[in-house]
Amino acid sequence: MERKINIKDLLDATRKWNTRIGDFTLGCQMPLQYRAGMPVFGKRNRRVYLIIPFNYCKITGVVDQTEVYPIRYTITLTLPDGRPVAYEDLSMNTAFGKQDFAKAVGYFRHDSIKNMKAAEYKALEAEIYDLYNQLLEDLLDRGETDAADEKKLSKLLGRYLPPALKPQYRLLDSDFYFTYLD
Amino acid sequence: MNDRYEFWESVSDTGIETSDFPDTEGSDHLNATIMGQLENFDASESDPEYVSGDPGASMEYWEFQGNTNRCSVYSQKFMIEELTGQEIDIKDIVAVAAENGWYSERGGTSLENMNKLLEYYGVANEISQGNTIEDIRQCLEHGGLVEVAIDSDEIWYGENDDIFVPGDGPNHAVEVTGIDRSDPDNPVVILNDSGNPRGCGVEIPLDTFLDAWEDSEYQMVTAWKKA
Repeated sequence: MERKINIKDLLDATRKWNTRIGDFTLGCQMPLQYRAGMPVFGKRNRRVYLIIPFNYCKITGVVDQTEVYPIRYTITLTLPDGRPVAYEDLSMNTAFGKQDFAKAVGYFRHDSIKNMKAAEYKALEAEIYDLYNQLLEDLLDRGETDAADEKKLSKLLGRYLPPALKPQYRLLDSDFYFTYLD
Repeated sequence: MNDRYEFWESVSDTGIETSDFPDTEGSDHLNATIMGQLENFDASESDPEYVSGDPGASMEYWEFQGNTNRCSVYSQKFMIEELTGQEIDIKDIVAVAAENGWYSERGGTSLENMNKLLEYYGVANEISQGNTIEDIRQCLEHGGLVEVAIDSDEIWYGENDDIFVPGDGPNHAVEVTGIDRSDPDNPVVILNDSGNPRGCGVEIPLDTFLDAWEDSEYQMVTAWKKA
């Protein structure tokens, strides 16, 4: 029986330091505080891929002044098997040559989620994960979604993601960016 | 400095700009966070029969890391000093970690490297995930020491609904020095937390600790004196 895509499980698996696929170790020397963000996805060469970005946020203790740092690492998986095919430190990528990875790029909570409490944000996150699962199943020709689902994901992601990270999403995958984040 | 150390510094040297860390004493900001509200271990207020480990002794090795990403370096330093009797200068141990690629000032330490300094300084150790509080207890009761990866936000800011970050995951390393069940209804885990200016023998409710530890899939480094 086919295993349904579960994006949350995939994101959690990337932080299991001893998860190895062949000679590839997920986690790959990423510093402790880096966390998986909402991935970009699409289809290339008839394979569905997921690029998981990793960045970190530093709580200063002041409400709405949590510092958001740039995406620094990515892990690319192919689906449905979740096989890692690439790991990248973006500081070595010329496309990010002007990025200062040591400087915060913005603050959290951003305007679209001001006054949103932790539980509400988690619920928003869960709703986004559900949409990811459906859209990925569709890309794998195992499910059906429509333009309304894409529009919904676009709306929710626009709310969820710190705006300061969007320019990096555009560099990571312009197709995904112009579909969901523009 | 050798070439390798300079290489690691150069690839991450985009210019530090870090936010001010809260004052260590008497700051409204610090007191407004949970850091200022946690208790610290006091042997006179606990029943040694119900304390695993020797948190009182371990407290002597605690230091504050300041506004750095050196949490695992400090946690391992505490353990190495207590187990070997060596006194280690923080600059020296940071240099060793950086030269070997286990740590960078800009990024910190990865989960996989949280025991490398212990190995370097000749301390027997084991690193694993999928552990339980019982595993920590057993290590402490056999004279071992423990380092874990946790989500520090859950410990430092967990009760504040307005302070949180996207996603889940570990972001900090601490030394677990004891478990105190003197009050069976309110068991606490005792930490040497280098990231908290009041983190010397700080007591964390067991449930809170387990929630924070879960985010690293219960990762743990145990260390002990070589026979």
